[in-house]
Amino acid sequence: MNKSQLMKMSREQLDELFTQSEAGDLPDGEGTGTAVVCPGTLCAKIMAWLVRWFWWQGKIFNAQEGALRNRITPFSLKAIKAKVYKAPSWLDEKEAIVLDYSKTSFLAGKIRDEIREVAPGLYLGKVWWGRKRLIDFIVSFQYEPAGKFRRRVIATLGLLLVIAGVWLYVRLNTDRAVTYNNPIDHFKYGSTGGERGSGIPYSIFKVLPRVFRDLLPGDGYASLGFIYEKDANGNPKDLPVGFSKRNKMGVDRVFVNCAICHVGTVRDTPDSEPRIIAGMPSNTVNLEAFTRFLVACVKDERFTAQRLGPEIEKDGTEDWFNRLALSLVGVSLMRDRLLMVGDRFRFLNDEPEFGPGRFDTFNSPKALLNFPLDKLTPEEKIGVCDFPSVWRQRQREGMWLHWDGNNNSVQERNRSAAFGTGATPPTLDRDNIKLIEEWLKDAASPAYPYAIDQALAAKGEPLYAQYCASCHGRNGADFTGEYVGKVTDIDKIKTDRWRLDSYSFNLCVNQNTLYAGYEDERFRHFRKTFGYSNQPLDGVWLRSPYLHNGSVPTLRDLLEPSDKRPKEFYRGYSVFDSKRVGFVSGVAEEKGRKFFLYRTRYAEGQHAGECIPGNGNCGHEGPEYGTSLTPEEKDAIVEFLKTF
Amino acid sequence: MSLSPRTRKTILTILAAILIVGGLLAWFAWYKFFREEPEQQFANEAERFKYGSIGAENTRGIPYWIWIVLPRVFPDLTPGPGGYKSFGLVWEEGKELPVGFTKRVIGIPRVANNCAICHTGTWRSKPGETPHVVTTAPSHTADMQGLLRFLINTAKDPRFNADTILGEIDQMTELSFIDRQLYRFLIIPATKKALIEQEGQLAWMNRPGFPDWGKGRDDPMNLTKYFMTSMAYDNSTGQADFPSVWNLKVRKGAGNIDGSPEDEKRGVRFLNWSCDTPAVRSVIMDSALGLGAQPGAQFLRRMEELDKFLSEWPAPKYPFTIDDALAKTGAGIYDRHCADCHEPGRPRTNTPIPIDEIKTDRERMDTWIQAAADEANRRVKEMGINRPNMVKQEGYQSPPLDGIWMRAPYLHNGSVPNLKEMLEPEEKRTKVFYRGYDVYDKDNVGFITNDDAAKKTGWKHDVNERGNGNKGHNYGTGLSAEEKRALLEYMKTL
Repeated sequence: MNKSQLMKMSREQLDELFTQSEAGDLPDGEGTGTAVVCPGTLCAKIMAWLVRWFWWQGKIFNAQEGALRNRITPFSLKAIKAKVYKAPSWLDEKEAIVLDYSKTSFLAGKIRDEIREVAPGLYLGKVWWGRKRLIDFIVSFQYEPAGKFRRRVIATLGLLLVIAGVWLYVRLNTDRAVTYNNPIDHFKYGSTGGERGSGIPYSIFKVLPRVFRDLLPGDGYASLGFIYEKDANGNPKDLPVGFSKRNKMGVDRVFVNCAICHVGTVRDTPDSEPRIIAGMPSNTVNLEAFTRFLVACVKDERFTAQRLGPEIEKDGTEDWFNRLALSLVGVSLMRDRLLMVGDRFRFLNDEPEFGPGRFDTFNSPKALLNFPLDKLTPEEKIGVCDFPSVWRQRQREGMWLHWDGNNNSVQERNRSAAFGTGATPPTLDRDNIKLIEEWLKDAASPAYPYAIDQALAAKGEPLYAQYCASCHGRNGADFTGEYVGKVTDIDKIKTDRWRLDSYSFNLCVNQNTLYAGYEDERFRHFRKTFGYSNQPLDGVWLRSPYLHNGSVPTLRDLLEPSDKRPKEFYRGYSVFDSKRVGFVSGVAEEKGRKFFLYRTRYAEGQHAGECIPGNGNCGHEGPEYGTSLTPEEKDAIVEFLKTF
Repeated sequence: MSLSPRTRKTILTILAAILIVGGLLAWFAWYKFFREEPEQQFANEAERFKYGSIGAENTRGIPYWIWIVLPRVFPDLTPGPGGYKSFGLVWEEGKELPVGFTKRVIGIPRVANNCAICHTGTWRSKPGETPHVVTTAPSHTADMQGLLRFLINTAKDPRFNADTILGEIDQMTELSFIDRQLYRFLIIPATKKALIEQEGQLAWMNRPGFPDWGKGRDDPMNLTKYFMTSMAYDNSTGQADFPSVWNLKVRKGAGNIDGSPEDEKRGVRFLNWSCDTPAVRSVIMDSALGLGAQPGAQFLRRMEELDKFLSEWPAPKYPFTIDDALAKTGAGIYDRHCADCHEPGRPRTNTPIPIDEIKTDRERMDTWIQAAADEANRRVKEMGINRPNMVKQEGYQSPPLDGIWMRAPYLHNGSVPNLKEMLEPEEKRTKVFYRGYDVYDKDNVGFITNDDAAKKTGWKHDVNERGNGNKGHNYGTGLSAEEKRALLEYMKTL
């Protein structure tokens, strides 16, 4: 009789064997233990193996003292004592060796084992819990106990593996955006979810301007027009406005959010502190230059883990693990991703330079949908337009939104814009977007902070009502008007048509597949229009330069016929011109920072005098548009518009 | 031999385990590949015609997410910017899929086609306008051959692999872990294989020397011949226009069909360009089967509904102004010169006009042969479908001219760009023009076929290519210019 024969027996057979056997001598020394659960089946072998590895390996008897201890846990620790003595079995009232835990163990106190020697050195046991029969077990002295050393090594390695696994799992499963309680801070720095897929490792983001200083027009991201707010101590904040941070897979990542295009600055004088205004167009931010900078970085031979690693270490922004991960995969992943972005955004190369405050909104989704851009018709290629203001969205619900009025759902427009922040249907942070959406519903532009000539404004009011109100609303808060939020045909408005034509019917219907699989979110409000949308003028004083492509620097200029409007001017300078209403547009450089020369027309060559595609400043002119009024009347309208 | 109780117990345990595991696996496979979810509800029958399933998803359905990303993974294989739209398909604003595409969940969401892919067209009055969609009109802008070739070419491309396709799907949706594995190891390879198999089935259309179908056409009888009957390739080519399928009640005849030459005399009327089918029901069924519809009770019910819908759905009214007085003059001319063959109810309408009489390009007619008709009839019968049998005729159909303004270009092969040219003698008709552009030409009644925009979006039709000839149908060509103008005006009213 040996252990494997016992293992094949059924419970009844085991009971019979137990009953037929004598109690035998009290065992002494260490015996190997085997649990017998569901005896006689395949399950028994599996259970025996599991119990052996994870819980119980055997018993160490001391016959003299009438006591024992168990070997338990994967580490074969000696624990859980019991008294050993002979007494009648509860099974058949005949003598058996009883292993009694009731006096010696708190946890196992209810357990009573009974064993009998069924063969020399082989004990069969019955486990009782209270008066209830549980499983059987075997204690064998027939062979050497299993090597404790080997078991302990394996168990220790196993435990380390489990700990490492849990640590890695916890570390790599993070998805925590930095959050803000104040809705304005949330708008400026909160996440749209874009970092999940498109995020740039924070540590790399921080070192790029140092390592690739030569690829920037000046020091740091501020040289691209990004806005740095000051913290409580008056020092610039860590990230510029429009950048959000999220820890994803254990790595802090940054990417842009809505505020990158919709927070701007205005200064009273060149020496004033900038007023930072959420919801206004980002008048100084050069998004195209930022895109080109990132792509140029990853194409540069310096973009290697060897070069970036020491810089990151200097900053102390990553621990050893993340530095290792970045050097092994992070740097090359970021390169791949940005090369892809650079390739898909190659439409930028066919357009006039955007400069600050502008981007091409609808060639971007063509890139997203991976249209063959080289086959775009020439009319479609230029879609540059101004960043708009984003206040008072509740009142805009149902209006035709975007410059060409191609969508009338605020939420859908928002999800469409969120693609620009890197957020795709699976990565969009819906809770965060909801917060931003709520805030935007009622966020309003700040009141005009400079003096208004009330008498002049009063003269302007009826003129505005006569010439402007039906398309642009009664005033800056009341958007009532017959044509407000509707599209004016291009043949009537006659402004630069490139942005309109860049949005094609083919793109429109393909956008219907975006957010498919997220039932209510699927895009279904896009349409192709044939003109530009009439927009409310809330906060119009902060929305310079004017027209959809920002081709007219001030409101006063917009009231001139197009041949009297400035043919070229500078953008990106944030000092306010309260006379003409708009930003000062004649400053080329300030403290070493150069501004963007916006040309509306070709200065020379065969097309001299003609509008540059995408940059034209024509249209929105003629008697109906107020450009034939007297200078005094025009001044009065401009004065009235300051109240918006 | 008796087994010991223990062995018996072990065997029973193993059997039970196999049953449970097998059952779970079977349920899983059913759930992921065969479970049919009910189709979405449609606002009306026209919407259902455009987007409703005819039951082809099971055999021809492409898994939805693969279908979605194919043009994004393979932009270089598409004709231009616009994904599937760039094949000239009709796609309405706000709709998830182009017209003629259906989406159903059979385990996973799948995309297949219905009748509307070839039978819904658009027109515009000027380039700067959203297309007007005419349900049941010929899809004159759609390049079906281009679309088929695109799908096959993607499957043959090394980029058609799980990594690339899943990478693009990840931009759009988040597949569950299990679905991801299914896509990686089963769905993507199986789709690739099925599409590559299609290449073999369509090899005949890619033979050198055989003209492309071009926009708004297919090779209907060769599709039937090679697809449904698997007959050996012959030398025929029969590219033909997609017909309008509105108002089918005027195409229905009377009398019992037995496939004999007496059919016509008994009042049987024929469909298909060379009168290959004697009943509306047969045409609808055979076309649906060609798209991969599965025969069965559901199929028969849907065919019945389509028959009813298409019989009653009206032809579109001419959307521009008509000179009523002139049209009235034209009515008399129509009556004298056209009505005998084209007015519903007249003896010759919807019958084959002998080829020696009509003299139009004969290639399309020659693609269909009696042997193919017999074999097709046998196969359909085998499927348990009872429908009037296809026949072989030696001539071309004389259809009613309802909504004729929206059926350009004209003749069975679309070889005459507009109605005005239909009234010109054959030698004066345009030899090269571009079809598939949907801006309307009110002067000539048809679509614009030769301006720069038409050249850019259209498909070049050269009448000298096989099957593209513009000869024949020399009726009314001798009328005076005045009379032609009047007749043209009248035809706008049809």
